[in-house]
Amino acid sequence: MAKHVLLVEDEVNIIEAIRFLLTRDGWNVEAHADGGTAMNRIRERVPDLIILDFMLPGKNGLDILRELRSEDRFVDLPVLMLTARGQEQDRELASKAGADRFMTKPFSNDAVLNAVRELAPN
Amino acid sequence: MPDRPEASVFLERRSYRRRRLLDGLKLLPFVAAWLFMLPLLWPDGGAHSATSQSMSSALIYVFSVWFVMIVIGGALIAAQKKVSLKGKQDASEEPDP
Amino acid sequence: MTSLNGLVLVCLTYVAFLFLVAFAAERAAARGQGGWLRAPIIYTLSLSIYCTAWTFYGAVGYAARSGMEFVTIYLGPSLVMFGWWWILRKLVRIGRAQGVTSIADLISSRFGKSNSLAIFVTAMAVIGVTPYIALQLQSVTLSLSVFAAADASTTFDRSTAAFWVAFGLAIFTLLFGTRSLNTHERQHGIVIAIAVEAVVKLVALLAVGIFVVWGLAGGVSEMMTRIDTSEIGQWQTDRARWVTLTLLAGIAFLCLPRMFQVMVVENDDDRQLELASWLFPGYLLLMSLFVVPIAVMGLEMSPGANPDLYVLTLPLTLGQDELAVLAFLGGFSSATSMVIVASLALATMVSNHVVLPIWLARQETQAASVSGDVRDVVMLSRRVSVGLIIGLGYLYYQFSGGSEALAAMGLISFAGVAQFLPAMLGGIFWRGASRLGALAGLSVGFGIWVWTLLLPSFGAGGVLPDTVLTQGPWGITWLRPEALFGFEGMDRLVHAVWWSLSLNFIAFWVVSMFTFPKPLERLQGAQMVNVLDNAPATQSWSATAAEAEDLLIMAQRLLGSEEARALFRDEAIKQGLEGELAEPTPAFLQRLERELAASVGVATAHAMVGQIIGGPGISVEDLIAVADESAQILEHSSQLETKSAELTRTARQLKDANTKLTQLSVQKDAFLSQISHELRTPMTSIRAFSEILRDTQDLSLPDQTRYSSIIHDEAIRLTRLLDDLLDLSVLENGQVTLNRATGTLKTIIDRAVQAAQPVGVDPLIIMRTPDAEDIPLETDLDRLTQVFINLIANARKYCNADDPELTISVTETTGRIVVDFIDNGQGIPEGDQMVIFEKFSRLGDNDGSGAGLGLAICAEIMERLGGRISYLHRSSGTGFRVEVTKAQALAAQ
Repeated sequence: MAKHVLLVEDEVNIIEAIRFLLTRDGWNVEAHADGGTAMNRIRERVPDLIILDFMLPGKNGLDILRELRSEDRFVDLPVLMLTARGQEQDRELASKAGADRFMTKPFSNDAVLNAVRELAPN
Repeated sequence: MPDRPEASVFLERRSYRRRRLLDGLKLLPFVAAWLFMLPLLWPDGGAHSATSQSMSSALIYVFSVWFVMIVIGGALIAAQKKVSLKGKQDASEEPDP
Repeated sequence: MTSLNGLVLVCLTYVAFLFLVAFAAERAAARGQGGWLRAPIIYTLSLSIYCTAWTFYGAVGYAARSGMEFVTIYLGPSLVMFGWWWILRKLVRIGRAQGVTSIADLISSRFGKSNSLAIFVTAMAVIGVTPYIALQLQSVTLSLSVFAAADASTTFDRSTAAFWVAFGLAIFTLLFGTRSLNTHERQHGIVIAIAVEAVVKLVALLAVGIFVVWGLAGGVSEMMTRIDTSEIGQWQTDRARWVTLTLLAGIAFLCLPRMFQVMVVENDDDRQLELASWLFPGYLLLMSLFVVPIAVMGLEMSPGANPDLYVLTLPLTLGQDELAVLAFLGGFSSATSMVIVASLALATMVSNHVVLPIWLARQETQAASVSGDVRDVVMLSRRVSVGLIIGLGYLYYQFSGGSEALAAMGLISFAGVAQFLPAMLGGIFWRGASRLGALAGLSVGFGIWVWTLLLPSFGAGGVLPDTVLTQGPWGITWLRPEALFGFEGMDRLVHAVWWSLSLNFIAFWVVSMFTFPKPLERLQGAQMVNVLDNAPATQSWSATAAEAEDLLIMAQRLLGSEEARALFRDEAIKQGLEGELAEPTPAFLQRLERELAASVGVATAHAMVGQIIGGPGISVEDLIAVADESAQILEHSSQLETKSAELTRTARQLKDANTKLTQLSVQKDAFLSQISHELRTPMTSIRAFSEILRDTQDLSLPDQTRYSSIIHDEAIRLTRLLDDLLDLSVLENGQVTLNRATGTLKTIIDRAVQAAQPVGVDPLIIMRTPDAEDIPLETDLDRLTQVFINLIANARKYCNADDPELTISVTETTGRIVVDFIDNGQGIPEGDQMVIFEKFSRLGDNDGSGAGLGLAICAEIMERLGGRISYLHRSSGTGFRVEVTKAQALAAQ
């Protein structure tokens, strides 16, 4: 069965690009623009990987990550964080909050694929 | 109200009258002093002086002035009281400084 | 012939009668039926203690010697009464407001509650009034001797008689006057006794006068003829003396301690003064009406006899015994009432300003508030003082040999007390008067009075050796007592009054000008000078450390237990407290001090309250002095205050600037990460899809086209963002150049609507009122169009109504043109309305089409154009208002 990845991102074009990449790599991609809905979905069905945008409308990526890590069953859930802000302190904040990988936009497609494969090996 | 302006006219006049009466009161001692000093101008009667004032006329002068001043003083106060009493009944009025 | 013993019996009966009257009055007052005791007529009659035995007997003698001059003694006070509005009104108000107990109290209270000044004034008053008391003794003794001479059955020794008279008067005074401690609890007994005596002496003198004019002379016109043919039948007056005596009598009327007592201390309200202002001159007129006739008749019928006693000797020699006894009673009344009031007034001063302070000072080493009842001390000291003062009068009488003419003795006394005038008047009319000035004036005036009048009055070789009188002390001729500075030949009295009062005034004035009054003096000065403006009382006590209980104990000792408790209870009720102990608020302390002052004088009361409040050693003066000792300190501190305020302001400015900088820095960081985010987001899509296009071989054609167009759109978005950023940067830095041109509002809106028109179908309906839009403008038309485009585009983008509608309405008001853009959408949440003009503020879901710079740019543009853009608070729909100032509009016409 295909592995399930949950993408939390508010830019439709970026969602489309990542969905294209990962689907071709055998992933089942579920995308949400809103942090709240994403959290509910995660609780319903725990994905194999979460790709999280840093800046989101409403609840931002960092908050979602912290909430996630506060629950025992999500402690080991792999999380790849994306940001467009490109500031060094964001990387620190993300790793402190429990992100497994941190990538700055714009990213190369290969780097994303590699990171995803590493974080959730088949 | 038609009687309003009338009342204010009366008040004004009363206040004015009170002030003039007060002026009279204030002036009274000076008038009295002036009149009491008049005998200084009378010729000093030496034994030889035929023009000097007689004692009786001096007596009459001094006591008359005195008496008139007392009457005026009393009358001024009575008048002032009457006016300010009326004023109090009609409307409250600022007391004179 | 009335025997001497009979006369003494009459006297005793008369005194007993007075006692009864006084007793009844006090009983009535105690029962609360004493309202009539405060009637203005009683007040007026009590003023008659001005007319003493000197008046009663001496005026006739004076007239027999110097003609009409005697009348000046009455004209002066009459003038003062006529002019009550000027001085007396203010004096009695101050007396009532400050609870003044004597003239010494007034002066000390005015000049900073200074006890040294009070002692000085007290001493002067005692010295000045002693001759006057001696005069009363003399007149009673003389009048007794007249009867004794006619009564062969008794031997009469004047000296012994004088002693017994003095003794009797002292007893009389003690019994009458020292029963109540509080001078503010009116001495009803005394006042009513004095009023009765006033009537008796007036009736007696009028009776003698009527007897003389109608009984002896046979009518008014006959009397006038006799007057004109008598020794004093010519108007003959020393003009200098006429003026000086009128002035002196007026001054003395104000300054004599006993006059101050009945006129100011015993005054209850202004009505009393109003009646007295004309009635009392009337009393004086009646008192002097028959003086000249009696003198003339006396000169005619008993030449060689003592003219001072004509009032008695005329009826006696003519066998009118009853009239003579009445006349004697008149004289006796004059003497007794004067001695009672004068010695009481002086005793109050001595006791309050000399005995009590000394006693307090001795107590200070122990705790003042624990030892016995002060009331006993006050009472005892007052009684002893009465005895001492009358004793002094007796001694003076013995020493001066009783030889002086009555009138001369009275005038010496007048001139002595007249020295209080500058300090008193200056104190109540001039705020610049200072304690040192008062002291200087009083000492100079008093010194000159002693040197030029008092000492020479004992006669050459009496106290001053003959040589001093003729050649001056140590041969310094310009210091001769009767010719100061070499001005010879002046009347002794005129000379003394002239020099003492002038130099007194000058010293007072000059020293006051060059000294700086202490704070308490200034407070008191302001209060007294402005007493008629109803100024609030001096807030003397600010300390509240006082124990209410201590205060109550002290008050009980002075006021009596019941009265003190009542006072505290009353105040407690006023303060809204339960129980009996009032809080020692400043207002209450002041009231308490005033109540105490009525018993022991202002200075002492102040010191006593001070002992409890501040503890020994700390007075309010000190406290105030610490706070504002001098104008320099005040000024200095105000400068410091200004400087410190300046520093605070600068510090605040620095802090503000720092905050602003920090904010700016934070803003800059936020701005940079925002820009980064806005740039990187389209870039991410572009990179991702270009890599997909490059790396994916089996991409379907529709996908290829689709991904290419995404790349294209994102590139455009990126470009637009960069344009906006540049635009904003230029606008914010003020580098923008406005291309002013003329056009109408209508064309601008047309262009904007057209430019905002999307390709294809436009669901947004735009409602306009073209007529109102026809307004000429001169402004940067392109920039204004940009703003309008932005607003229309926003409406199109965010209006979420089913049938979106935008209304553009134009209103012209004075000075401005207002263009409103209102759509029928859901509006902007209140919390967001604040931030919509901020950069990068995008609301709600982002479709990626805007960076949130549009409105920020609009706001910048409108500011450059001199107008403004604002969000319209409405119940429905989103509305923006653009205002263009009309100055631009008018310039176009």
